[in-house]
Amino acid sequence: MKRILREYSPLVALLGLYFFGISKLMHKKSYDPLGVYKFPLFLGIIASVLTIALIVQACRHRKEKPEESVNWSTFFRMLGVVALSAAYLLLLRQIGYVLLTPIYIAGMLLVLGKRDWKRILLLSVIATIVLYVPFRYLFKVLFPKGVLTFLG
Amino acid sequence: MLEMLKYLGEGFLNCLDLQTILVILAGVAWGILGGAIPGISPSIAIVLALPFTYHMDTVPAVAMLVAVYTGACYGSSIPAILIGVPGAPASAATIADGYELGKKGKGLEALGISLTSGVIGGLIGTLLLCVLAIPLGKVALSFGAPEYFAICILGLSIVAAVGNGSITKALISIVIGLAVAGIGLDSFSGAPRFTFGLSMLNDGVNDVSAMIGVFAVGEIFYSIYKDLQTKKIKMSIRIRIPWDKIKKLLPFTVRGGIIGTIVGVLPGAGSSLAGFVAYADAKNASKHPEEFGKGSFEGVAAPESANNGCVGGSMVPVLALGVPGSSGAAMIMAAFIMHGVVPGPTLFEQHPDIVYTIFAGLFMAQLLLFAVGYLCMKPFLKIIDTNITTLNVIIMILVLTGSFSLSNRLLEPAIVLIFGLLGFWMKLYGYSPSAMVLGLVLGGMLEDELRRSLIMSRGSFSIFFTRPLCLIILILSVASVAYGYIKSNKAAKKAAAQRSASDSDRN
Repeated sequence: MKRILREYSPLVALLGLYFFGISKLMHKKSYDPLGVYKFPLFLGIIASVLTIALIVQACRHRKEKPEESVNWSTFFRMLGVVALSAAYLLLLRQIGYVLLTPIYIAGMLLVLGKRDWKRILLLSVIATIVLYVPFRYLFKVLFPKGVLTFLG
Repeated sequence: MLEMLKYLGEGFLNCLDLQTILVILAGVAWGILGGAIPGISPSIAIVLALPFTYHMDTVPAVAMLVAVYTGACYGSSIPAILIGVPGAPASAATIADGYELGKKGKGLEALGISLTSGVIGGLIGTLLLCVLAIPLGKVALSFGAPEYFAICILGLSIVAAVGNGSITKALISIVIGLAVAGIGLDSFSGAPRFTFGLSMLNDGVNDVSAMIGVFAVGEIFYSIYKDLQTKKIKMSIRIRIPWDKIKKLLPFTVRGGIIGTIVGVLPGAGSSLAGFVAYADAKNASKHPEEFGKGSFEGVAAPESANNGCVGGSMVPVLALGVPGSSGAAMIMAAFIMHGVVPGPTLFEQHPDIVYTIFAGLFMAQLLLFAVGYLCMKPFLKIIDTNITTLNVIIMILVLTGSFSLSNRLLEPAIVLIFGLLGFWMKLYGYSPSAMVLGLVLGGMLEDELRRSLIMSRGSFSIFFTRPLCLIILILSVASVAYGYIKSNKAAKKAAAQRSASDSDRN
């Protein structure tokens, strides 16, 4: 039962969010016969029917599939990577690409179990330069400068 | 026909000029590099090459841009096969099998097949462009909203082939993709949909960011969760083109090339759809459909051939009608206009020399693609000759940087991250990221053409059954679903029978 809850609760949550979005569209007017919300509503109904079918199938065959235990240590490591990436995006504007990227790379390597400091330092700096130079000067990407306002 | 051959011969002679050869070579090399960098789509690679053509004559200028387009279509398959990141939407269908082959240490062979199939597909596309440009252009012009809607349905009907495993989960994946495609301003009323008050979502979710997230970042999260980091891919670094395999794959490559050209002719359909349709066709035609999604060479050859065939196809509406069918083709059309040549029905009468020299340049670009692509394989292979943890971190920062470069906004890397989590969940529980991407690519066009059709018929759905072309495409869609379903059922039964036979042998 835990497996069924784990597997389908994100889907049900997504559906709930989707129908909430549709409810916001109901009063919007459009000149075409189908209107703004009917196509999404149609998709929502199909998704609901398919989800119910999946849950019923899963309940029927639950004895056939053994419950897989969650590996919490790797799960938290993955969450660490997600949190670090989210923090990187949140701070990028304030701190700047050139300064924050090597910190992010070093942090990621540490979270993923690397401990060789010399290698971590070297990789963080080289990867940042290798990415920054072509994207900035060849593809003319305007990265956030952050605190290093003198950067071109 | 004789006149066409005469012009084509003259075109080849014009292309043998050193400047033209060099610019085509540079275009192909730049295209491969641009296509291989996530976030640099073929159209961006063309835009970046455009300033170099300002001072060139029309023929080398257009030939260079077409060469960039050709190179980028192949280049996007390199990261797809080696690291599971689609360099551009064109390679979305290649990931399913290409990356699996890469993980098995057969990445080099897959790259060889991708390159050779791409070149063959590109040659097919160019050949069809030479012979059928004007009639194909007229067919494309006869397509109205109902026909485009039917084409989208045909595209979605391949879901049984794209989703490996539960068909219900594949359908849910496709609905998720269609729903995501609905985010942003409604194209008819301008009302914001599913933006939840965030104006930055008004433009919708960028296909490329979502694809990078769901495939690449999802895979990284999955490999961390499943603790696959200590494994190192063992790969032979001896470069060789597997000719024996290529010979066996030739029927799939030729079919892919033809499919790619036809889909490329239709404005708006795009190379990602061509890749998916060719993939589904190959799976249906294969004697081993059960190997698809687990590392099938047929699953690489067909979509790659279609991607490059699409380049020739997308030039049909540009040259014959003056209507660009894709963003890449629009850039090439801009180059034509910049050099004082207006593409359209009169182009073949007024400037046949230019048209056929460009055709010859396209042929030459394909041949040079083979040479440059072959030389590029080893340096690219070095990328994955590293520890998976380090590779994961490098891919992560590369995709975040590449997605930022799409629009210089932090929204794109944020989308990559969110879709990475979605991709992780899909991979963990057997949903189909490929089917989701198919829904995402077709979603906008499907809804728009449906609504446009209903405006034409004043709300009556009968419009889809009273137009012969539309009806034929819809019947083909139903046949495709039925055929795919029957074939996958047969394959499942065969696999079950083999399993039970081996079990009884063991007992």
